[in-house]
Amino acid sequence: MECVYVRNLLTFLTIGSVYSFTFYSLASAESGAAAANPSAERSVRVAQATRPTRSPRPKASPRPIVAPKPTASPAPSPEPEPTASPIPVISPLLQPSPSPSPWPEPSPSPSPSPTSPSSAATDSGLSPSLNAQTSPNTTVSESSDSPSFSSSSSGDRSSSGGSSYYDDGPSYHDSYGSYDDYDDYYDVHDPITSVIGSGGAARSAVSDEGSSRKRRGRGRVCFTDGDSPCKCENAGTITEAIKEAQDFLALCVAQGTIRAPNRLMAINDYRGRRGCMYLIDVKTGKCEYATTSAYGTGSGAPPEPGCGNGSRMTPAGFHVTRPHNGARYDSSNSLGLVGLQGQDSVSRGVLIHQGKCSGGAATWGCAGVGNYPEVRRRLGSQGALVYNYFGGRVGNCSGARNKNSCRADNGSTTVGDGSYSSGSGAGYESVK
Amino acid sequence: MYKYLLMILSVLTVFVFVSSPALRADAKGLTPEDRIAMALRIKAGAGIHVESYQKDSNTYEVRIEGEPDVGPNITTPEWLLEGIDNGMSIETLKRNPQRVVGGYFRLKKTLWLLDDDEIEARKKSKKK
Repeated sequence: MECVYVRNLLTFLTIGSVYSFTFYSLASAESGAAAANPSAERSVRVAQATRPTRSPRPKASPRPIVAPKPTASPAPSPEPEPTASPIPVISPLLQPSPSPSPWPEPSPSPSPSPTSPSSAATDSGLSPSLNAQTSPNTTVSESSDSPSFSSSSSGDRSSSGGSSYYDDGPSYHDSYGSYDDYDDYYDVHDPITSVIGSGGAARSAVSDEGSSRKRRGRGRVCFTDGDSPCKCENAGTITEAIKEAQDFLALCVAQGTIRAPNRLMAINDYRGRRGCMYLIDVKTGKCEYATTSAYGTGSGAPPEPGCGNGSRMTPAGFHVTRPHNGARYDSSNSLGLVGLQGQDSVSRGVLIHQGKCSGGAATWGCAGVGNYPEVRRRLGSQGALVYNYFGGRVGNCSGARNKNSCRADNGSTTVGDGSYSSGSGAGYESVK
Repeated sequence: MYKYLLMILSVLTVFVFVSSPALRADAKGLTPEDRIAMALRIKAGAGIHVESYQKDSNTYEVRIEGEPDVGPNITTPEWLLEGIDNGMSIETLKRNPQRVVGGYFRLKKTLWLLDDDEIEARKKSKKK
């Protein structure tokens, strides 16, 4: 009889230990330590993705009392949608090369490149997701006093950078590199249900009513591409901005500030109440993707451009993307913006991140886009030109009037392929 | 013996269910994991300035040191105290909500943030 009890006791202890270990370790995600550690966060997200959908819980910790959230849909634009017009190829410097392009043509419903990742990022304190997200051929190299990024080329997908942008045909960063880990992270294979972090619960929070799935929180993407109020057909209204951007990009390449630009650039059209981001092929000037882009609350509505720490205004002019690692946003959910016309956006922490669906005033100067995962997938992790276009207005960003000099914030000299020396902007990757 | 085993398993199943994230989600359905994914938190170790207190929603607006234009960052008094973890009691803060406004704190724990809808809901519930 005693033997039976001992057996029962042993069974109890064994099963209890396994259960306790498994589920207490998952439950510990709430701790600050997990939040502070990106890799721990990621493991939490992965674990979360396998869990069932949730039901309301009893209040255990101090939480805000919130009412059930209505499934809000983005308000229809009061502005008339201009008709589509083809965008001409403008800059002779950026004419399409007669030779066949070594890159795959992006499809309307994008799928990741089949190329396998070969990220060679060293142990630099970057999160695993960043290591995988950085361009496939990117090597994070040693630098004495400043962050340094360099890219090694492989195959036909990119050249060794430098002035080959002119000499040997295009040498753009390949925004369509392999982001297997990134895809796993963002679930970019299905942009409709893409959710930052794509936890099971967050996924279930996306309304599934027909094809019009609206987000129900800041972390969700806003809409399917078809439902976006910003459309590529409207890019004909920013022809002038596209030309300016192409010319400025050529200048940046000539001056060595951007050594290997991305294939796509972003133009934020902030001329009306609704901001729209257009992703434009730098060579052809053709729009490939459009989504909403919220602007700074300090800018008002319709927005006025503005620079200066704490202004909460969206800076006018040209920027270039680079990884960001701040206290709230990091490389997993944002792209940092480096001003190229003296905007000093680095010290402000101006970013591209997931924003409100309306494209109105909602951030403190960042571009809050309607579908960040898709924008990030197309633009890559760094080296993409971003133009905040206010129809010629620059506000107090006086440097944005000067289109003859391309100089990155904090004395940065080169962005993209090659050595990259930036200042010690707060919140930016410190590569060791 | 199987009877005991079944009993034990039942107890453990209840325990697992209670500790599952399904029940850790708040009324809006956001777990801490969701908030992390949605960047509705400031990581531990960051320096913050408490900019203002909004009475209508009983919330605080904070600014991140070194990233003055990353925001909006809105949090509750409870979460603020949890994040700064300086020994102040919630009763003290409730008596004088302005006590921490203008202060600089180094976060000892993650500071959770509210999204726009939650702020609106708090305003509405406060009015009632």
